[in-house]
Amino acid sequence: MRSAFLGLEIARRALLTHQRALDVVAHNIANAATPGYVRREPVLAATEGFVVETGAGFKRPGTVGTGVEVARIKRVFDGFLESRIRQSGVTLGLWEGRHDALSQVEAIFGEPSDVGLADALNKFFAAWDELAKRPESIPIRTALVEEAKTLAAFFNQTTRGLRDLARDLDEGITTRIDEINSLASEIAAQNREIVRITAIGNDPADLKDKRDLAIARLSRLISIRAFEVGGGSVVIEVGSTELVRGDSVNELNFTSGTPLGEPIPAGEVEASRVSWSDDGSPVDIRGGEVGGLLQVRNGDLPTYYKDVENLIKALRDEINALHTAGFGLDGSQGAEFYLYDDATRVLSVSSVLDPDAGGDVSRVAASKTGEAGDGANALAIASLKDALTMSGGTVSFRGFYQQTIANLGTDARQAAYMVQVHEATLHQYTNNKDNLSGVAIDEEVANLMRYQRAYEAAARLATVIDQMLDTLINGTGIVGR
Amino acid sequence: MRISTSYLLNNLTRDIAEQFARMQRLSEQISTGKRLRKPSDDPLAVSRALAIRALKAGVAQHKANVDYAKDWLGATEGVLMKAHDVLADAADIALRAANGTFSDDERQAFAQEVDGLISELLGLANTQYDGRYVFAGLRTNTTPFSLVEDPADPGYPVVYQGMDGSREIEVEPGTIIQVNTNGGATFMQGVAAAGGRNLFQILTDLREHLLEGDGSPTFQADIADDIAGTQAAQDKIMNIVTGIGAKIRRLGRVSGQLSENEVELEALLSKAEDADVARAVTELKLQESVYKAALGAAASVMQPSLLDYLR
Repeated sequence: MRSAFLGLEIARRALLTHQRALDVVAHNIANAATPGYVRREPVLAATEGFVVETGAGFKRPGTVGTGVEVARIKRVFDGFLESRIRQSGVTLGLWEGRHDALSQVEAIFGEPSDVGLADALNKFFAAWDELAKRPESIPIRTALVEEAKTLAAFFNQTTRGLRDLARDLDEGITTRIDEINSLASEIAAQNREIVRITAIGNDPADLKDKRDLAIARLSRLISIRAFEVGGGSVVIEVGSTELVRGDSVNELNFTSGTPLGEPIPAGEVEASRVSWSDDGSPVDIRGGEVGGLLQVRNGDLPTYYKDVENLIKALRDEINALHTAGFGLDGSQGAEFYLYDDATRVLSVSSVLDPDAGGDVSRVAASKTGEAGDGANALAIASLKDALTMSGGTVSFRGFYQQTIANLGTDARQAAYMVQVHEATLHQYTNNKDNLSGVAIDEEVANLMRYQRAYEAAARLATVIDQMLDTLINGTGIVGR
Repeated sequence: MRISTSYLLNNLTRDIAEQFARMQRLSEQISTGKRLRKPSDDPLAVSRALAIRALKAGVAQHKANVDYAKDWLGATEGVLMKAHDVLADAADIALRAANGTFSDDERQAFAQEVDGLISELLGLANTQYDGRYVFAGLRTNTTPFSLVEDPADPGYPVVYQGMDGSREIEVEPGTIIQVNTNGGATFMQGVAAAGGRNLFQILTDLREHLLEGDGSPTFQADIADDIAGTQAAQDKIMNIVTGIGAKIRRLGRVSGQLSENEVELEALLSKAEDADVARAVTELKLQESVYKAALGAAASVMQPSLLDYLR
């Protein structure tokens, strides 16, 4: 026989349940704009009923319900989607790093331009041609030396720009390594809390949101693999070594490489490198922004630098070979034209020729015979412009420079394209996640009404039962009064 | 399908930003007129543009070289034409002296006239153009011809202190021409038809013969030699002038070719790196309407909420 107060109990459960459901809705609405927030869903379930004989006339027993409860609060989440987001984050980060660095290389070369290195090369050779026509002219000699200095300045600006960029990239990698280490510590701390809370039977949903957010950011920075182990803890691997396990972190160390143009120390494979702090072994980085930046720092940048330096040295050698054999206006012979300092890596016009350095432009060797009106040597130097002097005699100075620019353009374009592609992929996964786990305000408002109405009805139910009991308690048994 | 609020807002802001960036790129193309700003915009086109710029610089240089060569050759030609006139005048005097019967005083006057012609020819041979001696060969800073005035030697020999040599410039890729006319070869080399005498010797001989007068038994024969000599000298100068004229005409053709090349290269360069402004403007207009539509769509999607309808 059921209790006369069961109805009140059902009403009480309904009131509490819908109040709790309203709390969940309120939490969702409050966090509608919180990054990484995964919406919660109150899972309502009927409480266990009990079987009663419904009366003599009925063969089958019926079940009387006992009301409702919040069975659990679900975190609406898809682990597979989250791992896709991390994976495409790693790839996107790689190309973003490359794109970022290569754009800066492009800015250093500054081509195509009306005032770039290519233009300075054209003007330099034109000045030799002018000198071939008027070898006696001091103003034309001065103009040539000025053009030569301008060209040297462009070369020096480019090599210095590339060397500075290598240092800036090292700086950028350091910042990111610091961020990786701090994210790793954050994740480790969250692991500890999550394990603790899970152990006492609670669901640390908000902590999990935060940890997923940290892991997603980490995946943009470096190639990681993350998987959950027992107790709610997450293990994070870079390569096949663990960055985070439980609440312990194996930090990363970064060693800045040697400046561009200088040899990599013996025993090292790459200039700039990341190593594990526990045993100093190299970190196997396959992606993320750090991966992209390292690729450019250790691979692309030294190649471009070498190209420019090869061009400088070949130009110096070819011009000096002709120049030292010729004669100056004053009959002098044997002066070098360009000097390249291997220590400071600066190209300069020989001070013997540069009036600003106490030199004399009449020593520019335009003549092959020593006669003032002979510009044959200048003509020979001017003709170097189209001579196949580079890459084993297959391409001219200017052709070589054009190839370098084309290579750079192709690399940077590929990076820009890949960024677009992987942005779209990541965007797709993020959209899917947003649609599954994000808060929809209208939906929450509708739920708000649903639970509010249910609460109102439950309250009404309590009133009804109360009236019923009032009738029973106060309205009955008065016959004998 | 379930659409979350953050999905909606993220996508709207992302799309609007993308449309705006596209509009930005187009307006940049229009304002700069350039399609290529950095190598990655179009690596092939950028490398082509650099190559075309190098070619253009080459053509401009060759044009400057052709102009210079034409000026120099023209100046040389003018001087040689004047030298030809001087020789013609000398021939004239010789003819007159041979035909008429003149007094010694009159022949003295002829001799003085020839003397004047000698210094005129000397002056022409020492002509400067662009601050340089035209006929000095490679020794363009030194006065090439001078008269050694030695009273003991009435021949007044002319000495050449220049240095014959070829002054060359490139006027087309791979085509190098000599622009100078060597003074030694022109004025000092013996002319076979004039008995191996050089131009100055022919004139000084004429002057000597006029001064000697018909007191000399070989006067008529000498003067006849001188007449033949001056004519041979004129022929020599004419030959050189003809050669220079041919060179100038050839350079005229090269110059026309170079101008054509310049126009072609300009067009190629423009095609490689310039923005198609008309198309960019049209695209910008289209993009503008797309952008406005995106804003409008965003406004109408973001505005209504269930909350607006609940009371």
